[in-house]
Amino acid sequence: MRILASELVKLRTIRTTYFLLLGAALISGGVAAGLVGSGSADRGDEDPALSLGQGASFGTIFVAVLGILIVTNEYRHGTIMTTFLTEPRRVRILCAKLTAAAIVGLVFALTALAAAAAVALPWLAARGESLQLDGQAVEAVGRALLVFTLTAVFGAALGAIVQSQVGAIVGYFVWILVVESIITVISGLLLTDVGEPDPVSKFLPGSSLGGIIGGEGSEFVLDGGGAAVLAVGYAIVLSLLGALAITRRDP
Amino acid sequence: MIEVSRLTKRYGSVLAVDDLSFRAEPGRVTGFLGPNGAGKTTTLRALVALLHPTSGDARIHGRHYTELDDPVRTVGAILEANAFHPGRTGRNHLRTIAVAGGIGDERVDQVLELVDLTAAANRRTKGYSLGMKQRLSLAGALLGEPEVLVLDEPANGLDPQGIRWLRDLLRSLAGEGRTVLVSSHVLTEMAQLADDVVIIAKGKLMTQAPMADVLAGSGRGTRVRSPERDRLAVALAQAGIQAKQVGDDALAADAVPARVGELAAAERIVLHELTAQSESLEDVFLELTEGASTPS
Repeated sequence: MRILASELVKLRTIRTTYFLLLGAALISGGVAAGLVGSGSADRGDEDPALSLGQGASFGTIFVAVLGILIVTNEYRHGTIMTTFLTEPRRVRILCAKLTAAAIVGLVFALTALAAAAAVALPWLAARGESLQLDGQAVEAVGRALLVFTLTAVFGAALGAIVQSQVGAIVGYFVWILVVESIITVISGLLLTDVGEPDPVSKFLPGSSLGGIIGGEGSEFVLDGGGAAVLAVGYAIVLSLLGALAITRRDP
Repeated sequence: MIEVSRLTKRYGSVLAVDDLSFRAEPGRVTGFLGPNGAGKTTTLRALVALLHPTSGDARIHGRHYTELDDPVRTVGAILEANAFHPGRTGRNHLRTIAVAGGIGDERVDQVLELVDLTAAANRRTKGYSLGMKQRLSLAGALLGEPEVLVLDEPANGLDPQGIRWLRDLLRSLAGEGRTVLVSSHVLTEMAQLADDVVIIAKGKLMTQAPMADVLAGSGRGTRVRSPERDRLAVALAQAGIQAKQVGDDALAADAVPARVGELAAAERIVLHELTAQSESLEDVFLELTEGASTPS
């Protein structure tokens, strides 16, 4: 517990944490404004709460970066040595960092949702509509909490595997934005007709996160429950690889 | 008590530490000396489990660092003088260690005071001078009031007053019965600090001995000047004393001045100078590491 508390002190005592949190809030609020302003939040067949939750999930890019930084910042600045001196069993340090990442994920999710709500609710109310705190709203919150948390854990585990800050951040975004798209295209060309969902890409890590968010293009990903199970599986595999890397490779 | 036994660390084809064994005793400052690249840092990192040795081991109070119940309260270490997040304040840096070690904020303030950083405690470390960073590292090492201190080049970046302050501090910590192992490649600061010295070169142990023995040991000799140098050289040789020529009319004899003087008197040889030569730590060091170190 002491090393987890120390990880949280580390996060609270650098500005980067707050800048990234602000980024998540701004993008979430901005997307919410777009959804309400364009009318798509309350016009489509989806519940407005779900669309807003999906919009808030754009903030995961910031939590991914912070997750990566939880580990790679320490390698970059040499503080990982001090950290290992306080607890030489490195797997415990990684567990503390993964837990800290999960906590960060929850905080970011709540902040992003609050930003979306702060923009959307008064606006919708002014139009005479209101969001109801029904099952759909609860589902939207649950999906957001889960996807932010898992994204942060992915980031921290990846950071432990790669250890280089630039390498991990570039690697993460190249994988999510480029590699998975290429795999999707190739598997689509080889295995299915145009426009049909291919059988491979929905099992990729990025798609598993997308499946938890749900929404548009959801025929290309697993549904919420299946995607969540898959993403948790990826988080476990990445964490194990991270544990291997952090114990094998000396700082 | 620190015990390094048969420690070996190989990086590819490079043998950084080669079958190294030595001890550092409680209540004493042990100077760990060697030229740059001799394997000092590698040895100290192996001691605190920051690297896996190829073979052999290093123990603190008879246990591996990974087996210590409370590492922060047992060992204080500096392995890198500039290991801080530049955006974190000095006090917050110490708090990250204190919280992990279950140490309260009052102790953080105490060590800040001890290293004279109270005024700068709430500034971010990117504005710190090298000397301030070195003192902050030391504060971190002292947080848990550890019985064992492992300090890699703690004097780097300190000004002369700082070095003197560090020397007094380490001496008083050893005086309280703690084990202090401190590495350096600057010999002059060691002569007045260390009780024992461990000298390594190319990863190998050259000598381990009390500082006084090292200074007094092999290097004692006599410088003698005479207008009849050649006759004196023959007399010394006949007495079984080695001597070599120095300059135009002097000899460096491997014996105490009294012996050389008596010999010269017996042979009725005029002397112009008869001086005891005691080698500095520097000479001993250069002698021991000669050939073993690569010129940088």
